[in-house]
Amino acid sequence: MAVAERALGQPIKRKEDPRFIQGAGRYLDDIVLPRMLYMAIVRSPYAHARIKAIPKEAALSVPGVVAVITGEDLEKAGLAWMPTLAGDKQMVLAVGKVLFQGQEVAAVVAETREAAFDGAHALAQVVEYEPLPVVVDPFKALEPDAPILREDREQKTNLAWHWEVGDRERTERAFAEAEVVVKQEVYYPRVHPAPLEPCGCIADYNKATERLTVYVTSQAPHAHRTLLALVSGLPEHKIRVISPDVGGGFGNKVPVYPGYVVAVAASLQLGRPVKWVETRTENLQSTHFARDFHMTCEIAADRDGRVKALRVKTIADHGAFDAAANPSKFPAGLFSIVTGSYDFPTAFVEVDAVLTNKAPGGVAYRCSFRVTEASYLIERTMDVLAQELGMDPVELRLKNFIPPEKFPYTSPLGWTYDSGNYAETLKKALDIIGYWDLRKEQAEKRKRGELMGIGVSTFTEIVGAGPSHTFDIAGIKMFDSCEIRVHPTGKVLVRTGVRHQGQGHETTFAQIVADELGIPVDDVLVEEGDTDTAPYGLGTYASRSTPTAGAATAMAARRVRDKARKIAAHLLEASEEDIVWDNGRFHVAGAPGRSVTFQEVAFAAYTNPPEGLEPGLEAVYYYNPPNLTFPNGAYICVVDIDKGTGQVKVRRFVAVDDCGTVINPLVVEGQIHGGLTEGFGIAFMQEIVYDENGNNLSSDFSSYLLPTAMETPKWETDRTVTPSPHHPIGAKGVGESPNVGSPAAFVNAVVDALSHLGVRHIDMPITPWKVWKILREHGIE
Amino acid sequence: MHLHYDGELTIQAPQDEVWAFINDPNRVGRCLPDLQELNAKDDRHFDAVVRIGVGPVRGRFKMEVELQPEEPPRRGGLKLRGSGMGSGLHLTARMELEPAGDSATRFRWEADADVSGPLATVGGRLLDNQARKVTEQLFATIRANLEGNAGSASAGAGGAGGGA
Repeated sequence: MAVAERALGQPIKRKEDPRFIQGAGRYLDDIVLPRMLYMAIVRSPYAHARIKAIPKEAALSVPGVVAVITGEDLEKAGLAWMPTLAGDKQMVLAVGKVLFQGQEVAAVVAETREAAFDGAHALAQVVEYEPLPVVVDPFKALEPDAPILREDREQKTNLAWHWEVGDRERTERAFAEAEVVVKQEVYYPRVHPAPLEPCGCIADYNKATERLTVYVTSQAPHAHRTLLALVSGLPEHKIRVISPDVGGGFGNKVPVYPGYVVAVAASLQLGRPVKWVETRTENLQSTHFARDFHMTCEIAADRDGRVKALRVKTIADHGAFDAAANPSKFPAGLFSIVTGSYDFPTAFVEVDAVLTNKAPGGVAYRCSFRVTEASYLIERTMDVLAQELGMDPVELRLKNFIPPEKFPYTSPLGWTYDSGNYAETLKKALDIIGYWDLRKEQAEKRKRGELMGIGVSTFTEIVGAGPSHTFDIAGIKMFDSCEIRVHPTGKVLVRTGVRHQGQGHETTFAQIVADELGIPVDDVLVEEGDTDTAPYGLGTYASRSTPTAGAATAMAARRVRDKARKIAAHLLEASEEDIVWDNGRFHVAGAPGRSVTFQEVAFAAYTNPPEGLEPGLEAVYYYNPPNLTFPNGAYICVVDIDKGTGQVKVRRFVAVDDCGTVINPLVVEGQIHGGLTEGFGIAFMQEIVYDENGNNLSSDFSSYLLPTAMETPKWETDRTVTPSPHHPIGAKGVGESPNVGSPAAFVNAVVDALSHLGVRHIDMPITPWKVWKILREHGIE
Repeated sequence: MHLHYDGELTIQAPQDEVWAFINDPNRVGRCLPDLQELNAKDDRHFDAVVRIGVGPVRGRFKMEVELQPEEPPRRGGLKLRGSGMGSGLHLTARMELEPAGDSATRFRWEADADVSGPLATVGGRLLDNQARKVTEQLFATIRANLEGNAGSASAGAGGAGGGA
């Protein structure tokens, strides 16, 4: 009998796409419940001000308005403040004063969406504020005479926390003895995940059943249920969180936002469903931003380019509340992956988190907890070192890569890298793009005065949080889960503790199960997002779904197969030890003709189970990964710069990724295209800008630009495969690699094009205006 | 958003007259472009409502103004607090008068304003030009009134210089 083709590794089209491309997805705002009310939020125009009066009548007199809720109302219910995922607390509705522009001041609940907005508009006209001095610059916030922004904190300082890791003394010694030291200040600007679907929820409290159902745009429905239980005091079994189809998350839909809590409070008060959906401007002004890291990086090296030590100091601007979504032991997330792909003997990293009058955050935007900042910093500074030494950046990298034989490799900052072959991955990228020919072309073009640059980024990520002994969010350990139910006809329902928002789980997790059970992918349905039906899990972010829930899925399928083997032995009248699994069939060892299919076994599980064995065929697996996974890649970008306009044109971009075992190459390629496009936006187009009064000047898509098909370059992708040794199927996670690895490739390419002028660094976003000014400063007309 | 403007104009009227005019809530208040309501509370304070349109941000804007004569008839100032369209404006202005030949007055002024809310975030890129236009209209109207040709108060005068 021919062996059936394995489901793993097949470029199967996404099972979820037919409903999305036919407009049949069911997103939060598509849900309309009987007797549903609508809520709109009044927000502060000031970045820092005392609230003098909130005359509710202005909204209550608008026809259709049912209720107005303020911070004082919530205070009576103990709901005026809520914990953040970073151990700080945040105002749900402002009490006393506001700390950033767009902060939630009051909520207006009405019979229609229009009435809610009209009521909120009317109230916004009459809320009285007394402006206070505004601090938008984190460096100024740390000065001794800076106003203390947070009156609720015991510590009378704007410093939220200080964190350090590594061997300070050894690192300082290495710097003192070094032949060459480079130092570069690098700012990773404040950016925003800006999912096309903004955040929202419907809170539906039924006074008769005392059950609260919350439909919410959530990347982590179980975590949200637990947090809602802790914040509201409602018993957790009476809360059901449903995350319907999610129109992009990118980290923005991990936190619990004040709007959700107010909608819950409103539904509890009114006994009717309350829907809140934010506008684009509200999304950009108040939900969590990403990055905003002011970093200083130093590398000590030998004259021949061998790196000796790394030292990093960072000022992290968290805005008004420290609301970064990070594992509790890691206030700066996994930023200590900053030694990257290189074999540094020693390193030392310090981060100071600062509170300012800006929106709170920052989330990991398509990033595993600050990995993006770390990767950008080391990849940028390695180029600065290459420039200082007069070495080609590729030669410098090849000289310092962690060699394949050193894996598992323990970094000086304490991570154990699982696997990788960085030189092979880089060489593949060099071959595809024709690197050395491009260098010749660049030399010729320079002679003619033309500007062309080649940028290289060879990053290593750290994803898949995480081992429970190290990682938790608000105390909840970061395992993940899968439940598999096999129906009598052999069709399979799979539920997991994560929640996809475009990652393709309905396809890829079905492939894992189909592969493990030897059944068609079409026979597997993957369902996520309903806490009443799915097993508990921490959700989808930090590239953790495949490393954790994907692993749980494989392990649960193996549990199903183990039970199926017992049933097969019973059907074949053989002992279990003599049963051989052959991709979809069980047969008796030495007698391939005596066999049963998985479907026959499934039917028997319900119709003819062996004596003494539980009927049915189901399994649950809670997977606690033994380690994180370390996807990596080599990206090379070629740019041409127009001297007249400063416009940078990305001529070519080659991305070679190593995400371990590939479950579905189509899905992987799609993820990489999306992440590169977002990385392109960050490198060239985007920044959340505040003026000196704390006005957010990037609060719509005319000022905060997303790359469209018009701007986006063509991507060339390829891969190497170094399976993770500790993951059940060897997969590492891939969704974030392109967003983590690409910004450095873009910026390195632009700086490379201008390096002969003495340009060493340019902060993102690299706009034509910025480049044009640099060219004029260097006498290029 | 912080804005700074300054300017200078010559008004064909004696200094005392100019001084009296710009320190009279009822007279100077009426010169505000797109005025909807004016309520002089005393000889130093008035409230006004104007219509403002900066790009997509349009609506009624309430202003509380305090005139601050310092050294009549030479030096004074004003403080303005405005709110509307979910936005806030805080403005302080200083002005100086001096004779410019026979029965004419040189009027120097500068103003600093802080703007918060949608006027800045949404209207930000249009705000500067719009504020200059409003300022020019204001001074043109003041001048027209003082020079006795109030009917044709639209001609460009005032000369707002400087910038954000």
